[in-house]
Parts: sequence; structure tokens; C-alpha cells
Amino acid sequence: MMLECLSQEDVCSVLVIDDDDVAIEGVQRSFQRHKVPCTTITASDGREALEILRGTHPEKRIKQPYIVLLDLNMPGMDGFQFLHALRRDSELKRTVVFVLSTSARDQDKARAYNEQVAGYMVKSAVGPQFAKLAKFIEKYTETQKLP
Amino acid sequence: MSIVTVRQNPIHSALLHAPIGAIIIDQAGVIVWANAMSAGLLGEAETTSLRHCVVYVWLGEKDAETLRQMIDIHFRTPIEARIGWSRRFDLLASEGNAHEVELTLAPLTQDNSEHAMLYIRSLKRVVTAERRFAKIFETLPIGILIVDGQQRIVRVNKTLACEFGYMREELIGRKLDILLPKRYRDSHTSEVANYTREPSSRMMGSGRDLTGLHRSGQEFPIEIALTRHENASQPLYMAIVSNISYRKRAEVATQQTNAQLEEFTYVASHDLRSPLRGIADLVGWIREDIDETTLSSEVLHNFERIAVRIQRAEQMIDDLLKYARVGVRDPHMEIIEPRTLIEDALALCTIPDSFHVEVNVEAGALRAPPAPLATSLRNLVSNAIKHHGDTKGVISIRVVEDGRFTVFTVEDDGQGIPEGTEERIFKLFHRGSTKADGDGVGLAFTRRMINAHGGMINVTSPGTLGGARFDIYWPRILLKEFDDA
Repeated sequence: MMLECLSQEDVCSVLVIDDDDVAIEGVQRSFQRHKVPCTTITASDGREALEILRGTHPEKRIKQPYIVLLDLNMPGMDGFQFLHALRRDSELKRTVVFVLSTSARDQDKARAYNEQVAGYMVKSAVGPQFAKLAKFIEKYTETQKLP
Repeated sequence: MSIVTVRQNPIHSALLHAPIGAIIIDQAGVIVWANAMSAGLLGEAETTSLRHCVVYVWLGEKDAETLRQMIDIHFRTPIEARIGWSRRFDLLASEGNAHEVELTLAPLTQDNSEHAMLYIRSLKRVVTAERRFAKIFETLPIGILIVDGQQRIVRVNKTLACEFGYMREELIGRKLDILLPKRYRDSHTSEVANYTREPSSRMMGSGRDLTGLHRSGQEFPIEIALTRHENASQPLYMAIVSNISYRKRAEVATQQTNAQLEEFTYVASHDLRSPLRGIADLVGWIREDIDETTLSSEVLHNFERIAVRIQRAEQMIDDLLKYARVGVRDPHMEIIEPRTLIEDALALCTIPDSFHVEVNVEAGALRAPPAPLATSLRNLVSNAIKHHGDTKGVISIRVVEDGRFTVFTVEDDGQGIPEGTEERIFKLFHRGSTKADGDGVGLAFTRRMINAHGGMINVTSPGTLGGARFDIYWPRILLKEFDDA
């Protein structure tokens, strides 16, 4: 089921990149429950996400301003490859990306921050039902000036 | 010939007490003068008894002939062209065993063409040293070979020949190449040339994986130490060759194990966690999306049970990762006073007032990483309370020194551990009892931590107090193998 929350005061779009439909739905549900004024667009791997961001995707469009929630471990183009391509794209390299992964490994954390991510969240630590994540994204999008 | 003139020569008085045998002979090999040392070497008590004797009498037939020719040639040479000439001979000693000496025939003075000097140097020491070397060389359980400047094998011991599958005799005189795989041979030749220009004692090809070529055509990993072998006549080089197959195998096995463990922990931390999270979320949503008031208490109870099990599984995954991590050595070393360490560890335990803890330290300070040691002691003390079986009791902590180790003993007067579980209690996720809480990782962590630092832990039940007794052997003196800094 798709839960696109479109309200009048959508301040920002969130591109959720994850191959796990439960994780994606979890993010969407928590946004709904906490009334986060953001539109979510989903991509199941890095390649699809790049298409959406570059505007070449056949169906999905994203409007500025936006932030990206990125899972690292995905079949196809994984999170690291996506970050690598993103930072080397002159149009997209300033994109704000938060990593949302199940991995708490220090190596993964270091690799992600080397690609200038804005933050690194471990799924098990963002509270039951992504509650903390929803609150954080809401606060972030309210207070930050996005590029 | 006049002895008198010979005697007055100042050179002779200088030679009188020289630490080398010196004899003056005439063309017939007759001794006209001898010093004290030469008498000793020739087995005569007095120098006087040497005089007028022919020098050949102390030699065997063959040697006498050789010396006779040397003396002959010496005197036939014009005096200005005469030079020193050394050879080895066997003196016929009275005990019947030959005494090897070096005889040097040299001109006496520039104006005396009638006489010559014959120096006698005992080779007893040299021969003994050579024999000793030969014996060591032969019996050493390490492969050794000696090559000359042309890379020909001049000497090889049995160990080395065996390692390469040859008889010793088959290798003497052969090129060193036959022990090297073909691909090394060219580069080896140029490296040898470099080495002979600047010989030093060093490991050969350090950092590279060297292999030797067995007679069967198979290769095996070796390590070679090179050194120049002192030798008078021509430069020789000694190579000590060790077969390191066992070590290599162990190294490879360790690397593989570590890589697999790394991969396993990664899989555990990520790939197992994801579906678990998914299940947890889905269960949550199901409960959200249906009206809970319509559900029976059994269904609700089952929801709770699912939640508990998911939590337990997540906890186990965390523990697995921690378990992998505690196998890494803590590099932070301090000088530790056992008593202070125990007191600090006890301060962090919740010990009921009904338990009495005795501490008895009979060991000095040791240099060790405090964190894993304190954690281990804490785990043992809290285990003693948890699995005691009674609400009150005595826990005794003792520290003694035993050889290389400082031994920390933690024992209690409780119910001990069931017979036959001594090994099992250290396994990951083995729970001592279903009644006591805990997820069965404490002892597994403790053992892994202690082992990683070169120590041991074992359990005895019943101990002297009637309960379980744990001994931690912690190394006071670190072995080099653990010192990989």
C-alpha cells in the first residue's frame, strides 16, 4: 500500500531508498502518525534513486527541497555506490543524505561519513516504529535551510 | 756451519720465547737451532736434544718426502726470490695419534743463504674447532648449506638434504639452483652477485614468499638466513634454510578464521537483524490495524510472547557481536595491584549484605590491561551470587603467583555446578539454570577475553568451600607471540 501524505504545507520531500518494503512502510507510517509534513518518494535501490533525482525516472518525480534517507545494504546498487555516484554528480553533490541502516559497524559508519552524509542512524536505535526518526526529520526540515 | 754465529743473532734471542715453534735448518734438513716452543711441539723435553737431528724424523714417509722437496726447492731458489711457504703436516706424536701442524718454510736473513727458518704452528685448536663445527653442522635439526662464490654446494647437512628429498652426497658440487623453483633462478643469480659484493647477515627475500623445490617437483615454503662463512682460501656463504610449512599453514588458517569470523559478524549484525526488525514492525502494525478489544486474551498473550522472543533474538545478535569483539586484545596496559583491582571490581557488583566476601592477596603487582581482568572478576563474582542456590553465603577471592602467571581464584560455598557441565558452561548462550536470569554469555565472554590475552580459565566443582571454584591464570610475563605491537 502506498501512503503518500500530501498536505498543503508540505515543507519538503523525503526520498526513502530501501529494498525492504517493511522498512519503507515503517518510515511512512511513523511520518503519518507524527504528522510530519513531508512527501515520501520511495526507491528500492541506488539506481532508481539516481533516476528520480536526475528526473529521468518514468513515473516518479521529486520536488525541491528534498532530503534522502538511505539504506546501505541493498541488492543492485547499494548505499555506498549510490553515495559515490551522487557526490560525483555536479548537479546533485550537495544533496543532504541521512543513512538509515541496520548496520552498526564502525567501518560502515566511517565509509558513510567519508561521503559527507549529514547523519548516520541505526534502525534499531530510532525507537519503536521509527518514532524518533519522524520527530527528527520534522525538526530538521523545519529548522534547516536546505541547499 | 757454525752454531755460534747463529746464536748471537738478535732475531734468535727474540724467537727464543716466541709462542710459535721456530727452528733453523740447513739444506739437509738438520736442525741447527730451535726454540722452546718447537721442542714442546715435537715432544722433546729440551731444545738441546733437537740439535743435529734431521727434521724429517718427526714426519711420516709421505710428509717427509713433501717437506724434503720443499726444502730442496727453497734452497735452489736464489736468496732474493725466496718466500714463505706453508703446508699442513702430521707430526708423529709419541701417543700414536697424529698432531696436525702447519709448517712454514721461510728465508732466515737476507745474507744467510745456507740456512732457513721453519716455523711450527699447532693446528690442534683449529682442528678441534673445525671438528666441533662439523659436528654441530651435521647434527643441527635445521637445514644448512655452504656454497662457494660460483653457487656450488660445498657442504650440506643431512637435515637439509632430507627436507629437499636428496641424499647428502647427491648435492655436493651441484649448483644451488636445483633447490630453487625455476622462476626464481634468474633473479637469484643477480641477487647473489649483489650479496657477494656486500655480504651481511640477513634474511633472504624477507617479506616475499620464498619456496624451495623438493626433488619431487613440489614446492614448500622456506625461510633462508644468509651469512658469510669465514674461510681462508675462498669466500664461502652459509645459508640456513628452515621449512616453514607448519607455520605457514597456521598463518593461513588464522587469517581464514579471522576473515570468516568478520564476515559472520557482519552477516549476524546486518542480515539477521533486518528481518527481525521487519517482523517486529509487522506485528506492531497488525496490532495497530485491528481492534484489540475484539481479541481473545490468548491472542494478546501470544503477541506478547512474540515480542519477548524478538527482543531475545536481538539481544543474542548483540551478544554475538560483542563476543567477537572481546576476542581482540586490549592494548592498554597498566601496572595493576591485585587488591586494588579486586576492590574496584567488587565496587561495581551488587553484593547482597547476606553474602560475605573474603579477599586474600599473596601476589605482587603485574602489568596487564585492567579492563578485561576486572570484567572477568566481576562476572565470576556475580555468577557466584546468582547461581549460589541460597540467599546467603561466602565468596572467597584469592590471588597467588604461579610461574609465569598470576592466578585469581574466585570460589563460593554454594551448590556448585552440575557434574559433567565443566566445559559446557563456557559455551556461548549456555545458561547455568533456567531459574536464574541471564542470557548465558557471561562465562563465554570471560573465557574469550582471558584467552585473547594469553591466559586461561578453568572450573573445579566442588572446590574447597564446597561450591564452584574458578581459576583465572593471567600472564604476568607476556610471551612474544602476544606482543604483536
